[in-house]
This record gives sequence, C-alpha cells and structure tokens, in this order.
Amino acid sequence: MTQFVELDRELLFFVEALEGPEHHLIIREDNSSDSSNRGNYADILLPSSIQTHATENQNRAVYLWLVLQQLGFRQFGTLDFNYETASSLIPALSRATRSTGHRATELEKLFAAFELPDLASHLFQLLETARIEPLILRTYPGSQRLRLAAQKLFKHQLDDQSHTGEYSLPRLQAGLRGLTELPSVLTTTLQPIFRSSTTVYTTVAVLEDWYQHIVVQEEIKGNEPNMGLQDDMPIEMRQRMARLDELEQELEQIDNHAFATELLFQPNEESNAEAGQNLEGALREKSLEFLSERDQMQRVIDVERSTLGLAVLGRNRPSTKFHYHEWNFLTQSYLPNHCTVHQRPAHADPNIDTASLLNQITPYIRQVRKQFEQLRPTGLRKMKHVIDGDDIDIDSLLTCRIDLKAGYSSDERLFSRRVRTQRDVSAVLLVDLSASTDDIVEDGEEIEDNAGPSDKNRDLRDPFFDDDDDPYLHGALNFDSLERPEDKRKRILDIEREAVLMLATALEDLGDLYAIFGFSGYGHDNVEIEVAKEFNQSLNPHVVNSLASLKPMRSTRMGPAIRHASWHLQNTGTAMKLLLVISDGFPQDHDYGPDRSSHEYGIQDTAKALQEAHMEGIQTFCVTVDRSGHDYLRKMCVDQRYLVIEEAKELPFALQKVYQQLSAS
Amino acid sequence: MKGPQLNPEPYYLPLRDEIEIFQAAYDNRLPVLLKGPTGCGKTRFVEYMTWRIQQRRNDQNDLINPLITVSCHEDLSATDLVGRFLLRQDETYWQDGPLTTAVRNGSICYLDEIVEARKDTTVVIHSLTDHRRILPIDKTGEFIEAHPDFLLVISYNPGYQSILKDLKPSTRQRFVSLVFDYPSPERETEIIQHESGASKEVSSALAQLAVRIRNLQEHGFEEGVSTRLLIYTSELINNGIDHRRAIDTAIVQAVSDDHDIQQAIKDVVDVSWPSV
Repeated sequence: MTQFVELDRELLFFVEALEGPEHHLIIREDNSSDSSNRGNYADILLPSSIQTHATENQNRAVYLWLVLQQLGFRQFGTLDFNYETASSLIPALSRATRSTGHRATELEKLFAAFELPDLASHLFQLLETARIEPLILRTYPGSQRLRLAAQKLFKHQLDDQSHTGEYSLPRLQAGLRGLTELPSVLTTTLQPIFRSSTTVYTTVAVLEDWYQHIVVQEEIKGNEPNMGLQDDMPIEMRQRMARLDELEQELEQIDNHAFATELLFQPNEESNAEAGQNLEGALREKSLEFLSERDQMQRVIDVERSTLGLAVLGRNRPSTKFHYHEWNFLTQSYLPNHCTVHQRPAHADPNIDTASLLNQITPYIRQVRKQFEQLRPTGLRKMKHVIDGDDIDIDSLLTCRIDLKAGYSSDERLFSRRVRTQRDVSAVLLVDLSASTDDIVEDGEEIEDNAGPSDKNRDLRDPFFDDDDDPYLHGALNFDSLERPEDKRKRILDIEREAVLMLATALEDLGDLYAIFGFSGYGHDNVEIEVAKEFNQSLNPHVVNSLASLKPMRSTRMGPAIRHASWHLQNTGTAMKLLLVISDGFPQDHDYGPDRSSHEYGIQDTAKALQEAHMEGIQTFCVTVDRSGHDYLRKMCVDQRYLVIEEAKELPFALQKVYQQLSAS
Repeated sequence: MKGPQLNPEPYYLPLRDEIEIFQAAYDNRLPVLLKGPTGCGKTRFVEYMTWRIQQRRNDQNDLINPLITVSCHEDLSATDLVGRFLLRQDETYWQDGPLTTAVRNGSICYLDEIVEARKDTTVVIHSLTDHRRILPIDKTGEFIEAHPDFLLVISYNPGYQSILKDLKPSTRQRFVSLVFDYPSPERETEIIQHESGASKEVSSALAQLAVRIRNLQEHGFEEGVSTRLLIYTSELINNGIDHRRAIDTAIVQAVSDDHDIQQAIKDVVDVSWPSV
C-alpha cells in the first residue's frame, strides 16, 4: 500500500514543475465519500492511499496519473468554462437555467441547469476526463505507462461496485476507459470529444445528449435528491460559513442596540445636574458593557473569517507553502510532511495608528542603544604571517631571511592581511499571534497617546529620534489626538509589539541580520507565518506599519513555526543564528494531539523542533508572559533556555537582555 | 585571469537589445553592470561584445588581452585587483593586478560576481566608474589615468547571492544595468542546438524541461537549471549516453540534493520526454 502522506511533497513539486509556482495549486487528500462529484476543479484531490499494485513504484504511477488527469482540467480548458457561453452554444441549457447562490462556480451553474444536478456533475466529470485523456497522452508522451497502471485501479473500482446496470455510472466510466462496451446509443454521440480540436463545450454538448438518454433509459427521474450546490465543500466548512453569517448579524444587532442605548441615555440639558450625572454614569457603564461584548464578537468573527480563507480586511494575500514533519510522541515517530506552513507578508494596514506604538518605545531608545553599543564589532584586525595578503609582513620576512642565512628552510608565510572582524549574527523574532494575545494585560499601564510628530517620516536610526517627541518644540501638536481612546488597556500583543520594535531598533544599529515573523494557524495544514520584516529589509515605516498591523489570530502550533524559522536561519549562512520565541502560553491547536485538552503532544513536538534547531547550530530561547510557563517550558526548552516574565510590561527589557547574552556568548 | 584571444567569433544569440545598449555604453565609456542567473550567458555576452569591439578597432593586434575576466570570491581583496609588492631574491617589486593591467592597457575588465568579493574592492572601482576614470594605488602613490579604451564590466546575481551580500546603491548607480534571464524555449533550443550539435528534437525537449525545472526554483534551489547544463546534457547525449541517464547526471544531480525534488524532476522527465 502506498500512502498519500509519503508522496505529497514529491507530488507537489511534480505539479509545480508542470504548472508553475504562481498558481498555488492545492494538493490534498480527498476525504469526501464521493470523489466523482465535484464542482471545484481547481484543487487536486488524491486518495489517502492506493493499494492497487503490489509495488510502490506502480502505485506511485497511479498517483502521478491522477495528478496529470486533474492538471489536465486546468491545462485543457475545463476551468475556462463559462455558463453564458455554454448557454449560447447549447440552447437547451438556457431554457433550463435556475437561480444559484452567489458563491456558485460556473460549473455549478451548469449542473444546476439540469433537473438532477448530481447526475449531471458525475457525467460531466466522466466525459471531461475522457476528453482530456488523449490530450494528456499527446502532451506527455511518457504518461502512457502511468495510464496503464491506473487502468487496474479503475478496473478494481468497477469490480467493487454493486451497480451493474448498463447505464450505471461505474459501467459508463469503464466503457469510456475501454474496459467494457458502451451502449450504442451513447457511442454515436461521443465521437466529437475525441477530436483534436475539442473544448469543454464539446463535453457539455455530449453531456446534454447523454443526460437525456440516460434519464429516459433508466427511468431514474425523481429518484435522485438534489444535493445542493455546495456538496464539494466539506460539511464542517459549510456549517462554519453559516455560523459566520449569523455572527455578523449578531454584531450588527449589537451595534444597533448600542446606538439606541446612547440615544436613550442622552442627558437632557434642561434636567438638573444631579440627574445628568446619574445618567452619564449609567451611560458609561452600559457603553462599556456593549463595547466589551462587541469586541468579543468582532474577535470571533475575525478568527472565523480568517479561518475560512477570507482575509479579515477582504484581501487575500499570496502565500508560499512549506511542508514540515511533526513529531508524534505517542508513536515516537515523525509524521512526514504533516504540517503545511503558509508564509505571507504581513498586511500593512495604511490606516493603522503607528504613532502610539512609536511613542511607547521612544523614551527607552537611547538607553537601549547605549546597552547594545557594547556589542559592536571592534573594526579591522591585521592578520600577520599569512601566505597571501595585502602587505609584506616585515617580521616574518626578517625571520625568513635569518633562517635562510642560517641554512634552514624558510617559511613562505611572509604577508599580512587586514581582516574586518564583524558580527556575523542572524536572528528570527518569532511572535505568537494566537487569539489569546488579544487578552488584556493585568495591571497594565494605560497607553499614553501623546501627540507626537507623524511616524511616517520618522527615521528610527536617527540618533535624535528620541528627542523628537516634543510637540511644542516641533509645532506638531495635534489637539484632536489629545482625546483619549476609549480603551487604553494594553493587550499582550501590544506588549509583544513594543518589545520586538524596541529590540529591532537596537539591532538595526548593531547591524545584525534579523527577521520578524508572527505565527498562528488553525490545523496542521494551515499554519500561518506573517512576515513583518524580512532579513534583507531595513526598519522602515512599512515594517513598523506591518508590525503594528499584526492581529491576534488563531491557535499556537509552535512546532512547524519553529521549524520554518530554523529553515530561514539556516539559509542566512551566518556563523551565529538566534531564534527568539515570544509567546503567551503553551502550544495548542485543535488537532495538535489526540484531543484539544491534551497539551503534552504539542509540548513534545515543540520540544523536538527546538532540539532539531539546536542540532543545526541555532541558539533558541523562549520568552513567555504566561506565569504558569515554568511547567511546560522546563520540558520544552533545550538547556532550560527560557524565561517567564511575571509582569508583561517587563517583556521589552527582558528581551533585550536575553538577546545580548545570547549573541555575546 | 588571462584573457581569451577571442578568435573566432564567440557564438552569442541576442535576446533583446543588449548588444546595441552595450555598444552605446562602450562608445561613451559607461561602465556596465550585468544582472542575471548563473549560466544564462553573461560571460559569453561579454566575450562576444569584446570581439565585436575589437573588430572595430585598428590596433587590435597590439592588445594581447582585450578582455580580462576576474572571477570574484569572498577572499578577493582590493590588493588582489590592484596589485602588490612581491619578493624576488633580495628585493621587492611591484606586480600589477588584473584591474591595473586593464586600466593601463585599455582592456575590458570583467569582474564576475562582484558582490562575492570583499567590500574594499568596490571602493577601488568607484573612481574608475565616474568622470575621473582614475585608479589610485596608495602603495605606490600612483594615480593611473585609465586608457581611453578601458571599460569596466561587472556582474552579479541578485537571485542566489546571500542576503548578506548586495551591491550598495552608491556602487550600483555608477553602472548601466543590463538584466539577463534565461532565454525563451525557442531561443534556448537554438542555443543548445548550436553549441552541442544536438538534434532539434532533443534540444527542444531539453529547453521545455528547463522551463519546468525552473518552476521549482523556490524549493531549495534559488537557481534554475542553466543553459550551460542543458548544453552539457545534450553533449552527453550526443556521445551516446542514454537520455535519462544524461539528464540525471548533468541536470537532476546538479540542481538539488533534495530527494523529493530530484524524484519530481525525474517524474517530469518520465512523462514529458519524447521517445526519441
């Protein structure tokens, strides 16, 4: 038996080689009960295992053929199908047009035009596959071997089916593959799809004809229930999309209610002062209540929308996929390529307020810079006694001459060379973006929203940067911004951001190579890495904007995030590599272990990932603001390299100390 | 670091207007920067242009090395380019480096993969690449004025070069930049056919294969398969090596050590290679 997980990486490369990386094809296991009924031909669906042949090589050939078949849908025009064009070419379709949801694909509109959409969908897939197979064989001349291997799979499927009726789908499929005879009435209309100049509309014309014949012949009309138009979407996803709609409606209701309450408690100018004060107090209390409820609701909606593949701000950003193993401590073995990491640039929201973030760190920058100056390189160093160099080394030359005069053999290392001693350090700051980072920091100090000069033009490397915050001096006082924000309490993510930005400012001066990644995700195949700063970027306003725009997202699957950061660090080629993980809790995800409440699986996988990084020569360190962190960090971290911050506001300073100690070691 | 004799004419198939631009740059003695992936024909282009320029010059026989190529590496310093004092018996003598030789004689000096070299090399070339056209040599106290025919050409590869290494804007903005990329499959077929003498069918199949392998660039190898490797492969095939074996040794093993990538490329070859 050959399993999909053993081959998925190879198959992904195979697909990308043939199709190009820009299409971001998704290749995944097909867990649906009925794989032959699909409205979405864009993804590549493959069975979780194949045991048709005794040898792995032959089973692999079957997988490759299935991939080629589905790539064929993309390469030979299936995805170009347009329902309006089809209706104009095949009048019978336009007569039967039915309304569909706004999410329906063009093909789903086609299937909805038939009284039995599922039957139409099945038939379309059979016919379209039959149309593109000759095209695949022509385009990929070496694929005949794969097709022959796959024929055995299809024959097995036919043998397994209980339907033996002449017009049953398995029999039709076998007939189209040449394994059995097709009814003559169907054969006569089939010929056009084998011509060299076929299009998807040729298939649709044959579909229309076959559908009518089959419905009449089998008298199955009315026996098949209409399964709806989203059957190719997993049930769970459909349920969650429906739930998202409900949540959005609830949010709207809360907004309306809050507005109505505000009107109701509007103080009357004519009423006495005492009554006015009472009303004002009640209004504040009620508003805070609504605000809290609304924030909570908004957070749930953001998480759901993001999970369902919809960008929170309505934008889908391109991502690059990476696959990593996962350590299953229950079986003490790796799950090969189990995790898919989607790396994408962090969304830099142009409307985000970066001034408050910059104002928070401004008072400390000078102090931090002073501390980091001690780590600066010493400059050029002259290496003497080398075989080749910039200058002749007089000492070595004298020794050489003396040796020669004394009759000894001489040393050839007569030159000196100037070598620049420089810091050769790279670092990744891996920031936890799990939903819990949205929690308010206990006893957190209020955000001081000083009216300072705009951050847009502020150069963080400017040595006088920390003197620029006097609004009177610079004439940039903005009275509008003196209004205090409604909720000034800091969230964990706010503290994480400040800590990272403060450290980044110091690293910029130091010249170390560093990147800032945020990580979160939902499920093993959806680990998300948000790149706020790449290694080769400088700390510019865009980076600050990206950092300020990071949002709390979903779960904390740490293992793949650490493996991904390690991979990046390895590619820098620097002598010293540092990985700083900044989190607020233990690793967890909905499928990170046998059940969600079991944390041991995630801890063990994260521990393994940190060990792997350590073996690769990467210095790792975990910093957490979770006060109960000792319990799991002790197990997770190599050589007890962790720090639990008791007060979240101390994080920025703790992070600097950790970095200094690590990079100086 | 000895220059080629450039006789006969080096084969070069122009992709765009690079010949005209280089010629115009040379006529105005503007330094040229070539950007592009490994094995896409940058060095061959410089050789070809040197040959072309030589044809237009009257004193071509006087110049022994019309093109001086230096393959830069991480230990290459300014001294290696400019020159140094060496020891001979009881005395020291000054030995010109390749750059100084080119500056004195009026050769084209081609610094290949310049960002690999140590940073002090870029400082040396600054005064040669602006209106001054001089080479200061601090050890001898000389200021050498460049020969009227001297031209500096540098190349680098923005793709695979370590992110630690990059040309500073102050250096980059002294050059006319020509960007190179792999040729289209049709052009690449023609190049393979010409260079290796392979049949059009094999050359075309190799060019198509290259497009597919280059699609995998993001996965572990930043450089796609080079035209040079395709020519090697077709030369092996010409010598009677089995096609798949030739592809395996000259391409698959050369582009990546990742087993999954190697297997994927082999699969691509299996399904797409014509039965020639």
